[in-house]
Amino acid sequence: MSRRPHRWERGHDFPIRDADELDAMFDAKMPEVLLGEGDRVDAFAAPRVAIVGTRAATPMGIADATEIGAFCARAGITVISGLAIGIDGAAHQGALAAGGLTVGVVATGLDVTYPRRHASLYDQVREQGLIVGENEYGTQPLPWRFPVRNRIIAALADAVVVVEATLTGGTRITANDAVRFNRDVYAMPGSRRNPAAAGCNALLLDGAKPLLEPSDVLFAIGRGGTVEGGWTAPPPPIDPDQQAVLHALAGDSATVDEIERRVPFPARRLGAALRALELGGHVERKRGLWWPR
Amino acid sequence: MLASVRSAVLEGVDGGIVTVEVHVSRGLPGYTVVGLPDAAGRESRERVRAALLSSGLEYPQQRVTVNLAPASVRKTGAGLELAVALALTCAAGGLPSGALDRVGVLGELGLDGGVRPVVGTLALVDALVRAGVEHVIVPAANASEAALVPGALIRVARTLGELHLCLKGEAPWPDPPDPPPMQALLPEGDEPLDLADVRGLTQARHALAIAAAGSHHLLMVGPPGVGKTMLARRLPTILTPLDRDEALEVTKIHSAAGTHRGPALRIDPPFRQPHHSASMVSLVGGGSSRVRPGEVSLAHRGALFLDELPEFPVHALESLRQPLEERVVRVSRASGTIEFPADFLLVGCANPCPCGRKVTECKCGDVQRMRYSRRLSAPLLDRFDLRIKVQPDDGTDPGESSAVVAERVAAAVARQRVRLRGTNWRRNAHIPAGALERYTLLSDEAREAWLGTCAVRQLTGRGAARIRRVARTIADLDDRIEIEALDIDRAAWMREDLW
Repeated sequence: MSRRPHRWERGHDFPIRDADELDAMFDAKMPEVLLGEGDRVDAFAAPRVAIVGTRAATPMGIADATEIGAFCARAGITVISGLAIGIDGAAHQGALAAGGLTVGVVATGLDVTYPRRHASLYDQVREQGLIVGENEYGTQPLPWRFPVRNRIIAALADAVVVVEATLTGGTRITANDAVRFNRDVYAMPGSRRNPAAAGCNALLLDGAKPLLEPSDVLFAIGRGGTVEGGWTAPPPPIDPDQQAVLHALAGDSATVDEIERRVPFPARRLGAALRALELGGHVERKRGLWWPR
Repeated sequence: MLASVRSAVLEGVDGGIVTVEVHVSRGLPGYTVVGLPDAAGRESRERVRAALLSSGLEYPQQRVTVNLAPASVRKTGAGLELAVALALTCAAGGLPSGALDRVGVLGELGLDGGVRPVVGTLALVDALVRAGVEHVIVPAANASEAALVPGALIRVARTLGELHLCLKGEAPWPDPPDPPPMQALLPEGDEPLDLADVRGLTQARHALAIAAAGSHHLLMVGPPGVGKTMLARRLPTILTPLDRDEALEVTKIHSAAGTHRGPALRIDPPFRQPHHSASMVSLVGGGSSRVRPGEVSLAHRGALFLDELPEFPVHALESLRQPLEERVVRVSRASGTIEFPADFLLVGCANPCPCGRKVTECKCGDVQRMRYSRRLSAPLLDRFDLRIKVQPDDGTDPGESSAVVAERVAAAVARQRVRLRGTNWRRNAHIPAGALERYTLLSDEAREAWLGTCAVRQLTGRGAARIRRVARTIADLDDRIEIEALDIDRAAWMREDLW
């Protein structure tokens, strides 16, 4: 596995657009030097979209982030994210699985893997893209470094997509930075009952663009309207029982108890419906609950 | 000059026969005990001497040697003292030489010559009867418990002096006790618990009834305050009473462990809820001097409730895996291996995260949750047939009372007893995978549902078998011969990955 080091300095293909102007406009200083490791320096040549979100993601958010990452990869867009657990990791995974390019921006030294369980993800990102950061080797993960790192994610990207965010998490910081740096911000709307969607809904209220389909990100890079939709989720089921179950879930997670109370038919028809939905990829079981996909 | 009498000491929860031999010879007055007694056994010399003198019997001013045979087995406790005192009296000529033949003696002595009770009477008397003694002399306080042993002729000892007269035939034996009634031991001072106290939680209540009926281990995970513990503590109200054989087994264990109260044969299944600071030894049994049964054995034929499961020491939890699978515990020590019965129903509760706050107030990170859930290993989780998520429920309907559920559970247990008669398995959860086709009939629809579930979830053979057993119990609770598709579905829904 390659650990080819890279080093970008201001003035020589520095990957952050208008770094000098951003410095002049804000006190959020852009780094003078960006360090990198990985096999694909050309990752910065393509249009770039950052896909970010909370670490406390729901299974639905994870699935969405994976799909959007994969869509971007197929559209030739480099996916930028922060290699964190939750939405970030899913976005990288989606891009990697679709064979696209992806860039992970770390808050530590490039030789430090954080979180540890993403060690194999780090390796894959190095193979199919780059891991970049502003800190010298050996820099350890400290809480304050992550919000500081987020400004680089926002600055590197042409647009930022927020999949799921809590009201108080660091994702809001990334989105605020993106607005200040004049990057487009897209947010996925969610249920008011989902705490992991509250941050997104707040962003929408503040003027972020709603992302209803992955293809919406194409508008940000000037290719809008060239691709329809983008969700690869299976078409909705035709079977009325299965439809009723999806309605009963109403986009949210539920126990079987709750589903059973909400569906209009007796429980003995529920088993077959749930099995078919699970097999068809419409629902999944996680954490003891049923989740729509 | 030489006399011997049979007595018994506890080895685990069973009795081991000890022959007490006393030799009195000329020489400097002295008293030596050989045959691996523990500290209490060595101290018994003072009690024996004082008791003999207080009872007006002779303590020989000669050289006394007490041997506890078999010499290589360690003896614990003071339960051999009465036997020593009688043998000593006999050896010194205070009793006719044949008086102690075919007699078993149990009891501890007080300085005043009174006979004190011993622990494990049931097991000890049982061992003596099997060894062929005709009469067993037991302390008065243990007499009714001893009378439970089938075929035992019990003689009651109140004081050493009285006993001496009876043995010489100069006084009548006190009346032997009647066998005590079979009776449930009710917890004292508590308000009676009832399932109707719990509102809502339909699935969890159903799961509890299934667990009670089929002996399926149950794990409930949910936010604090949702009613998991409340529900689990009401499990005893729906467990089916023990039959006579089971009650004897249970009473024997509790008698040996010293946790049996009162003379009655207890028919209520034991319900044990150790605190989460419990050590591995306290859970599975062990100890250095005397090997004691652990909570899993004290919960034999009943239920073991572990609240806050992930808070238990990890190695203590992992030590449950073997008893859960084999329903016995083998405790090995340098001195030997002892087998304890451990056929119990395990009910566990857990919060989804370490902080124990409400979902809306919880600030536990993903990493903390992962770390918390990892305390329960996959093999341990796999042994829970029923794994359910308990969600806050605004249901206000009081639900069925314990009496109604207990009746249904008892009927389901009766069905299982008939079905599994002549096998080694008591409940549906015990049916081995190889016998499932024979004992758990599936309707065509149910088979389809079962195969479908296995395919969708990519279940291993073991997981598939567990669902089938639970489905059998659900059908039993519903009083049906054949398992239907919904039974399979419900069983599958109660076996979720909770983290």
